[in-house]
Amino acid sequence: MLSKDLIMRLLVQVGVALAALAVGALLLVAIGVAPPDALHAFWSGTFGTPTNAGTTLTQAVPLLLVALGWILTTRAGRLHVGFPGQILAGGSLATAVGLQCGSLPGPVAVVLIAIAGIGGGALWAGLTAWLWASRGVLEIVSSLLLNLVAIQVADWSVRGPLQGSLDGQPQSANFPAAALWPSVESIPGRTLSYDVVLLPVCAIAVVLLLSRTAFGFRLRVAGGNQEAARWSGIDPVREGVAAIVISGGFAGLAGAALLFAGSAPWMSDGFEAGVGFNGIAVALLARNSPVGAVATAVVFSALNVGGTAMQAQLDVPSSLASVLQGAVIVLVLVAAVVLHGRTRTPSAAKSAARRRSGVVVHSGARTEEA
Amino acid sequence: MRTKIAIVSAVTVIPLALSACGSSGDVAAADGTKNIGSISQAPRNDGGFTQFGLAGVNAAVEADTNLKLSSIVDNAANSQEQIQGLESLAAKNQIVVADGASFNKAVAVVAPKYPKVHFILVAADLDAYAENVTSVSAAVGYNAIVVGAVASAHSRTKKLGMIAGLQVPASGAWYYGMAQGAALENPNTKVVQTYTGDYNDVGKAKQAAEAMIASGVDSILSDLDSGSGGVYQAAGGSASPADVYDVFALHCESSPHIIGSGVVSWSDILKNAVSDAAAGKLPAGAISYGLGTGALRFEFCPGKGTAEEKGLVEKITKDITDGKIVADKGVLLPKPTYHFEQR
Repeated sequence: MLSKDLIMRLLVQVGVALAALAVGALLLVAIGVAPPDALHAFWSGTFGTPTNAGTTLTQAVPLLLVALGWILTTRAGRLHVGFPGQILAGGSLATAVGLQCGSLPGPVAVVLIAIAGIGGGALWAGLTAWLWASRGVLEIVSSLLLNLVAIQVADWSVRGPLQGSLDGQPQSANFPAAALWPSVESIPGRTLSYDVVLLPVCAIAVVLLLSRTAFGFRLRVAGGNQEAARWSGIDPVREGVAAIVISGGFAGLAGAALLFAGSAPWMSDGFEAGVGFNGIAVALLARNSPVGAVATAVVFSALNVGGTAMQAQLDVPSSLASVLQGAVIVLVLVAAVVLHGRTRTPSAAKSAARRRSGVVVHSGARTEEA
Repeated sequence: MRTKIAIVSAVTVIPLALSACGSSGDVAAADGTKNIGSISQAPRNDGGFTQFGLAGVNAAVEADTNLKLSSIVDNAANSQEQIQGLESLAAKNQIVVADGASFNKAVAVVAPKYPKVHFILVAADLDAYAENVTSVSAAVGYNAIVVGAVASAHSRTKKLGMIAGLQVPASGAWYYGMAQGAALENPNTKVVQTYTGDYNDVGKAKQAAEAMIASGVDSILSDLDSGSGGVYQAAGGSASPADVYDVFALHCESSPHIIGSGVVSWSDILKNAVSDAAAGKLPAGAISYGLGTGALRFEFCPGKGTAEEKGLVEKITKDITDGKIVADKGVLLPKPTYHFEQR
């Protein structure tokens, strides 16, 4: 049975989607494109064929992984934006390993590459965590600046040690076939990678981690009230470091997935493709719900893929998809404000009622007034 | 928890199920019209490489009523977007122009899936031969030799600079060619290079040019698109104005400091390639356009260049086409191992 709160949240999500559609339709009309034509092009480009649906779902995986990383860190009370850098670090390390995996059995190579991606992202996030825990550097600042460092390191590596294009382009050599993550053979173009199983598996794993484990409980307590956590014997710094590093692992895995599960089996500069920040938007749209993030990751992926299809078929500017994504984020923020106001009103009423009955709740300590 | 698992499963499975209702999507022209699609990394109105390439495609369309430029995809910055864009275009066009060096691997992935589509890859070669791909490139290094010689002759400080967006082989060819040409004119002339990371970022270009001018450079080759505006601003803003040399086209009206341009007529090259492809006369493999075709040439702005400098341009150009000047290492892009044609 769905709770009233869940129904309300679902209704808000549907409302946001409808409002975004309305904004999109207005923009399309403004540039002289008939919305039904655009909708047809969008649908055919995203889910109209198994090939395109495979692309859409495969590209949703990195977005979801980043979103899950963001959700974990925010639950622990930390806020970092280092996902682009962690994707680049994870992808670069995965590339370095993947290029050497040509002679290994496929499953071994896939696991090694995934571990390399996770390790690269976690190590890069570890720098942010270390700066915060030991030097007091705000993680949002250090992670943002480390993104710039990661971009330069990745640019250098693809022009230096990892460069493998015959005509000297900033691209690695093509990955060996054994290193590529397997995909569904029955779909033309093999656009649907089996890493799509990460969508439900990772979302459920994060839900279980947060709700059913002691570690998840400590994360939530540390994120909810640091002082209370300390009094309970929980070290909020340790939990914060763990959350940042784990989120880096998710982002690193996203970097590996972008390269080894996609249809472009090589590393080039710019392979991160905005996934790091879009993943944050995916989490925000889902209101930091791991389950909701699965749906919003698919929506964002569809906006990206469908945007290209609309451009190719109807000459709709490529920036329209970005505008729509921005509109969705703004609408979500508006919806959050609406929901917040709606949930605050009853509690405020309850507080007033309690005051009238002589019961005062203050900072977690319950006292009776005479 | 069961509800959450059900929701997650539904969200993952429903799109796949819906996709099964779709059609396979390939569209072919039935009235004899040949549709052309074009994809680029930069905006279509970048004032440089992409815009001139599109102008060439449009010129081919205007010359042949059976051709139609049906689709344009621009701003395809990363490999995934490039592959998506190429596949979208290949599904409804007979000729697809991939306008930029970064498309080499993406074309290699997509072209085998669409054997009936002729892909024209611009400014790069494939790693391996494909029967439905022709790469067309310009031997810009030859042009750079001429620019380097002229700039060296015109320079007071004998220190030249080259600013480009990305450190890709084509930009390297401008630098190495410029260095070779400058050395031909004066062995003591020095050439420095800087990459801004973006062909269209005016601010970065201005900063790079100002830094060069501050270090004594008085002549700058701008291998940029709309980012060249920053170079013009820097050249006019310093106490001792610097000379600017453009690439691809003449933009003399943009700044009084522009001396001339190593014109690379991508418009001519693309018009030629698209027309040949439409007529079924464009061979698969690689075609390089040089000074001999006229697609590449050095041009002065009106009122610029002395008689000696104009004579120098003619002499260097002739020596290159006659084979008396051989390109140094890095001036020309590596030749592919498969069918190659120098025009």
